[in-house]
Amino acid sequence: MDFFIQLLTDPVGFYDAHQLLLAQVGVNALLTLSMFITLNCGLLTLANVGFMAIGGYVSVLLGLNAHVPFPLALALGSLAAGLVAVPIGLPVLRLSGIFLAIATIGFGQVVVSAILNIPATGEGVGLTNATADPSIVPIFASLLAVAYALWRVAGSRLGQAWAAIREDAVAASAQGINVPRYRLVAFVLGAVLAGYAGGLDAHLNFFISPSEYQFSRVVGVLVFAVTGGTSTVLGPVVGAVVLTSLPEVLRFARDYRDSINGLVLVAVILFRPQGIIGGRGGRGGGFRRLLARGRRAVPREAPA
Amino acid sequence: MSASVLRLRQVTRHFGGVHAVDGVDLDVAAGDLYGLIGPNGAGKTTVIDLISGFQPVTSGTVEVNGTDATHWPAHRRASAGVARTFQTVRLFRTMTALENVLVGMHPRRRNDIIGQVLVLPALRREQRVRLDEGRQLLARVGLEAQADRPAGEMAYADQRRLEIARALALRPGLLLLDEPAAGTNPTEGAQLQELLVELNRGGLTMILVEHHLRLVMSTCTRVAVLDFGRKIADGPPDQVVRQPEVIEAYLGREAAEEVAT
Repeated sequence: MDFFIQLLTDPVGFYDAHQLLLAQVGVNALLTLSMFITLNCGLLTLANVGFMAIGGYVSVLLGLNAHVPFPLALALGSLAAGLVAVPIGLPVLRLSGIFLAIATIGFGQVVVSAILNIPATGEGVGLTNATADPSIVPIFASLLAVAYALWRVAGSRLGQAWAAIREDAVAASAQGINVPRYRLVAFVLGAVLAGYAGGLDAHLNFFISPSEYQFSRVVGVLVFAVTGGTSTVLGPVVGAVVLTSLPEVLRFARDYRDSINGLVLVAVILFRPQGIIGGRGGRGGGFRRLLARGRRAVPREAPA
Repeated sequence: MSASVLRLRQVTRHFGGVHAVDGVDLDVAAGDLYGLIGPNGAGKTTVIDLISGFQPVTSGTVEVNGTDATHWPAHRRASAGVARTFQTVRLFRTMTALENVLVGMHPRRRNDIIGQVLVLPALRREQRVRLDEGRQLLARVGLEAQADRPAGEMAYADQRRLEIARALALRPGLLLLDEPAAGTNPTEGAQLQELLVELNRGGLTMILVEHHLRLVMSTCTRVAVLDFGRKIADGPPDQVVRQPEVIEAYLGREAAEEVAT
């Protein structure tokens, strides 16, 4: 309980004590929003950590070798992630459901092994980033801006098309929606945001290495999204905030911390399958449907 | 002679060795309510899929309003005014009835992402115009009272109507209806039929897939009969039903001979 007591009675002390945690909360929220973009148009892709690694490494390398100022390096890192997403997305988005998930996991592994083998990245040793700055201001300013933009996008032509594709891709194309193009847009935007989060994340730490971009991390992000709920922008943010701070909140439980953490997760999945922040049409159906979907992006109808 | 809305030439669709559709020609003129009938497995739905672009043709050509559309993907044909419904209802189930119809306006809505983020007042006006039009479309199919209900919670016959309203939101030049009355009771079926006739009188060109002969005979201006993927008859309904090939396809050879004598 100390966690909340300090948060309320001594915000300055709380900030000093938990600055890195707060930064992680913000980065994780951004990452989860990057996954929300693709989930929101019916795509279960797990390439986010791969794009995060690209954003992180590109921005740090630009800063180290070319002395590019951080904001520009961050923008170029996100752009690099987005550029890589195009040739990846074109073939991979022909898949859907669990097949798409597996293909995108593969991409994440490819990025990690590329980092391990390219000398400029420091290979397995990692990179020391002397210009790191653990300030949380850019992270939370970005989070606010991104969440607001995504919230407004829901009412746009693009957001409406994404929602229609998520609900029924076949019916969406019958309404004149270019399903492959809108899926690619979601995939690339998700990659840009993941790359952006990766750039911010890398800038927090004085040291980055490929071990930070493992498969377990993307699973963590997926858990944030599912726990928070994926029907609104708020869900992924809440999921990331709650689950990232939970281990810290549970510090008083000492050795039982991880077990309680796991129990909380199981409880959410059992009792709130639509996520902490529900939404209409939730009922957990959305996510289960994603997994259940077949390999074909646009299923053929049986001849009659 | 009125303008050609759709022209199929030798359209063929093979699944491995199965000839689902085999060399079908079809000419649909503006204002037609074209019936497409045939026994189960005759290839009716496949023809609808080939016209709307949901399946590629194996060979042959599809012309929409005089333009070759054979290689257009489904969304492009929809944007060009070829709307369709599905044999099994495909609605955006968690969206409301009104939202479903709004999705149908996608091709003529302009890209407004920047404007939405900046909350431009002009976009709010455009949205109001769309909402008004959406409500009118719902009223046209008799669903105005259910505008804010999630589509998945509506009664089955109403879902069928909503699918038609959503297709109308495309402002189609040709509406393809794949067994719109399937799964409805006789009263609901008759009401749907009435709606279709009304829409046709309002100038909408339609192709109606059915396997109930009587339904098609009483409403359609022209009828084509498919059997085993081939077109075996085409013409005004009262002439088509008298053709021995049609009777044979529906009732068997013996019945056809009996009618002939």
